[in-house]
Amino acid sequence: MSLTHVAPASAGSSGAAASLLAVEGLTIAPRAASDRPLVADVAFTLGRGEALGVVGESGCGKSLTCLAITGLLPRALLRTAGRVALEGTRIERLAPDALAVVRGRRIGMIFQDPVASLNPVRTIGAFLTSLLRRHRGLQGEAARREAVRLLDAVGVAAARTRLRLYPHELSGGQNQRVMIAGALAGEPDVLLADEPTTALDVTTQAQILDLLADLRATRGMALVVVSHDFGVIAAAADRVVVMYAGRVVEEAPVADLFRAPRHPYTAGLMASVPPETGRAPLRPLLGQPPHTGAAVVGCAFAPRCVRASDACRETTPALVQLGRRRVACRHPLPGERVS
Amino acid sequence: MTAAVRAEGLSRHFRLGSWARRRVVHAVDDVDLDIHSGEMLGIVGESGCGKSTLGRLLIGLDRPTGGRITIDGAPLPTGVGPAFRRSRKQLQYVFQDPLSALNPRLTIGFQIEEVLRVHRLARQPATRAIALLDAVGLGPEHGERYVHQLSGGQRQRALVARTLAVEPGLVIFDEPVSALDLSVQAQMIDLIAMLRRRLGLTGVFISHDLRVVRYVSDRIAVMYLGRIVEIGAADEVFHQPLHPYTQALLGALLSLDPERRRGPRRLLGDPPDPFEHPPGCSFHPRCPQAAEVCRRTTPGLSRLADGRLAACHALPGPAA
Repeated sequence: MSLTHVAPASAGSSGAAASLLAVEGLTIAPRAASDRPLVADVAFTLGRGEALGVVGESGCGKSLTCLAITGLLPRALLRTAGRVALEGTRIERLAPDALAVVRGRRIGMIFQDPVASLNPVRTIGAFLTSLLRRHRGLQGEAARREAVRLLDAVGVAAARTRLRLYPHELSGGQNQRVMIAGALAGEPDVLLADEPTTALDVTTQAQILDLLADLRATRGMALVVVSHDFGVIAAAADRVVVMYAGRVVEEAPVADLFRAPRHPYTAGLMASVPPETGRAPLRPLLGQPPHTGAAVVGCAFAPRCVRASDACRETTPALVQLGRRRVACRHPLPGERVS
Repeated sequence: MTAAVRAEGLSRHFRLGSWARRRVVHAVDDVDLDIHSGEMLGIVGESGCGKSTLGRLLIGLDRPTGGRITIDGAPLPTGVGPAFRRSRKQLQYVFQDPLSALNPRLTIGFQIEEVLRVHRLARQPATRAIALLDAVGLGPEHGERYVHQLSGGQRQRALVARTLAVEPGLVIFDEPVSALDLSVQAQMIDLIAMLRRRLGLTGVFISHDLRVVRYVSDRIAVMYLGRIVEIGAADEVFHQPLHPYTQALLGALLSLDPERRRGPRRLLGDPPDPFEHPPGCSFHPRCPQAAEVCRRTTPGLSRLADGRLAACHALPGPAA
């Protein structure tokens, strides 16, 4: 198996011209130490109606990438390079008030902990109607009717009576549905879901993932789902970006990635999931991810990698096209045999 | 096999609220359970099902409001006093969050040595502490550090080292890997498996992660609203669940094969509110097979043909 550099695949959803959201060279660093990036050179595209999974361990930069897309980085951090284009418009250049319109109206967001994201002293109804007024100019009874319709759409039973309730009166799964209803209020083209089911029980998780799949099918909404859980990625994504230490290390169609991971990190991460039969030792990756923002020379994964050579420790490998995927590794694992 | 721990009719009810609006939570409700010597028993269930309360009761960290627990035939001491203190040498608990379980102002090594001194377990506590750190894959230098100077995985290892210092007979692992990243979680699971083989630990492994529980456990108990609804050999429960709740729980497990995404096989409704105990079988409001009898009488655990225990009216009665 040799490294074959193939021209960027034009087939399928990765065609740049058709992309709805395109992120290029995204780099994020602390204001105080701009030479120590937390996210470096992240690039991906998202087609209309497509679902992109972003997977990685804590500190790999997957959540920061989401926040940077919508201009919500914490004050201490700065996007030092890169562009974010929504249908060709450079949204990273927009003034704060113009970006605020994009956020919610074009790009909706949901976060891991719905209870922390909802205002505890405002009712569900006040939350939803304020969003509908802001994004769609709906007032009074019209806004209330639409709020009920949204709650119905996300599977909240007895929606009209729920409008009077506060977040603490609902379960975690119900609150996450309310968050999703809020994200849908502006009828966005893209939904960014950052660990949308991590705080939920498995039974509720399955319901929320079913709901996201329904919404994609019925509204043609594109989805970015960030998760550390390969089960969520397998269930929700068409294409997957794997991140390690702030960089994209592999990107592939979901079935290809699960069938044969080619970056040693992806493979090691997958081997860490306990099997469903037998009790063979797990052969996990050794060591741990580098500290966020630590100075890294060469491939950040090299210290944990059994395939690493001297070159890996010296320079950072570029993300190169290998068939239908992109891999940032000098010694990728053999791919599937092509017949 | 001898039962190292036996719980009979074990209950823990919490009274909450003011006098006028008193509500009772049946966190653990009439649980009968044997933990055999040398086995790892997995406990699974949704949040609020009482799995952590059961874990705390099993080693006397909390007093049951009903029923009794015996350890190797002797009643379990609870509360304060010399008998309880002595029992700590036998019974240990590994908490989910090592940051709150370890003392932030003492070095890891000092905390391990302190345990050895309290129980008078080693002539040279410092040497023994280093051996314990080595057993969990930490070096002597980690003993000199404070908890904030360690990574998440190292903290959990340090906590396990301190737990093992007393050479306990029974260890309750309460979500020991849930807060860890996937690669570090796998290292921890391998460590627990290795320690079991080497030390012959008897353990209880509490987790909401069904794959992890199957992998580390010999038997699995499934809890719902304070009761055990099914218990049996880990692989049998995982691959052929019998109770409708266990089936729903495993049906919600996400496939790792994107080409075999499961169709929507949803368990309708939310996880139950621990304050609201439905009459009869507490699972009946969410159960696709619920019949009239389920709304009236609570099914008890009965033994099925393959030796498994399950509490469901829809299952065939006790094996002849």
